[in-house]
Amino acid sequence: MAGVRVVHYLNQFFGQRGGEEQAHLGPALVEGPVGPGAILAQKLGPGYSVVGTLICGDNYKSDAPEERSRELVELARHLRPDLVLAGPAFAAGRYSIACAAFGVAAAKQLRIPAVASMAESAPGADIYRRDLVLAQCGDSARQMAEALDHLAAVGRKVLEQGESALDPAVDPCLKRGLRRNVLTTVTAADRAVAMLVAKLAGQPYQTEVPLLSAERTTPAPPVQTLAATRIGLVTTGGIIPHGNPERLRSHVADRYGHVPIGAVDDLRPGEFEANHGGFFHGYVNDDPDRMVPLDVLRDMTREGRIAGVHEYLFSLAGTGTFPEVSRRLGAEMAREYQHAGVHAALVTST
Amino acid sequence: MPAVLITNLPTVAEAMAVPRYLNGVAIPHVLGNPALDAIHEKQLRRRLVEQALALLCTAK
Repeated sequence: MAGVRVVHYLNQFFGQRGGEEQAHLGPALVEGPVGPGAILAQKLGPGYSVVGTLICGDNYKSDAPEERSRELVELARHLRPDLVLAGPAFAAGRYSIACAAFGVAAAKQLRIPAVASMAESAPGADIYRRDLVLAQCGDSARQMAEALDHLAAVGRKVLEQGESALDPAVDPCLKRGLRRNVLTTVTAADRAVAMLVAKLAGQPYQTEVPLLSAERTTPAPPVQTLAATRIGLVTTGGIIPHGNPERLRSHVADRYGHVPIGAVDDLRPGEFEANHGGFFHGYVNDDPDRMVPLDVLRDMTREGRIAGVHEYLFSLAGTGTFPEVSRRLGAEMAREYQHAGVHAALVTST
Repeated sequence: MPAVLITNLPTVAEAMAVPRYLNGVAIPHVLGNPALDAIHEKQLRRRLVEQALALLCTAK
């Protein structure tokens, strides 16, 4: 291929601007490849050149991933890219989301192919796999060389043969979870019966629609002494301080807010409100205790029924959250609780 | 760690095999009832929270 112009997206760390302390960095466009981009350019081969690298801090991006992505794409427009590659982000939370959001915006605004690289377990994968081609990589930066191999291979294939030529069974990319219509001469009834017969006979069969299965987890042992227990409050009702200082999403949550309630005795209207795209907020906004029963729990603490309530309310809008994301967020919450000496949780939902 | 869910969608809790859950009042006010006066509403909320905490102390 003659002169394919590639723009590469990196965060502040891989873009060699600094570590976590530089996560607030706004976008910088640099000519040519930076850091891993140089190796990526080699792996892409002759005929491809990384004409520019967009470097952006993970926090700057995560404040408003879609809006910031749109801005960033416009910054790179004058480079006239033919292909956009982002990452590898490995399993990083903000970075994988930033890469994917940027790829989606680039594809849309510049009408060119885009690929982001991340691990199967990356938060960005759950959120964006249906919207963007994602090249696969491991979850550690130690696997950078292989990650760049995959990103280059998938990038080339998408540009040269189109997205539809990709097959996760063969190419190093993540499954999309997309439903495709195909023409067949066998009716659904016949196919379903054939599957059932095979299943009953203990023979292999291929489901056409893999269903989400809820893995049964072993219930945790009960609280022994309630009076000695600090309770963590979680809500999927999206309760936040007025003004949404953490800029939480009102649907398709990808993280949870830490709402400070340590000094709060009662969730008062006007101070707290619901940020959730899936239910009528009127009643809860009139009294947020209707969603998060802090008033009652403070009474119970004073009475010695419980030891207290964790100082942060973990809050997110539950509507449209991907189950895989929920599982990850729940595990994160549990880790935070363990660290903070909180041993039981009360989750309230709409 | 044990967790208890107060929800208005018990069928979802069942389907997701949530071990400890409680049915709340209604979707727009899971732990309240605007038709009640403030005192009775808080009593209702207290009862629900007590039930939830009792579940936390129950083996599953």
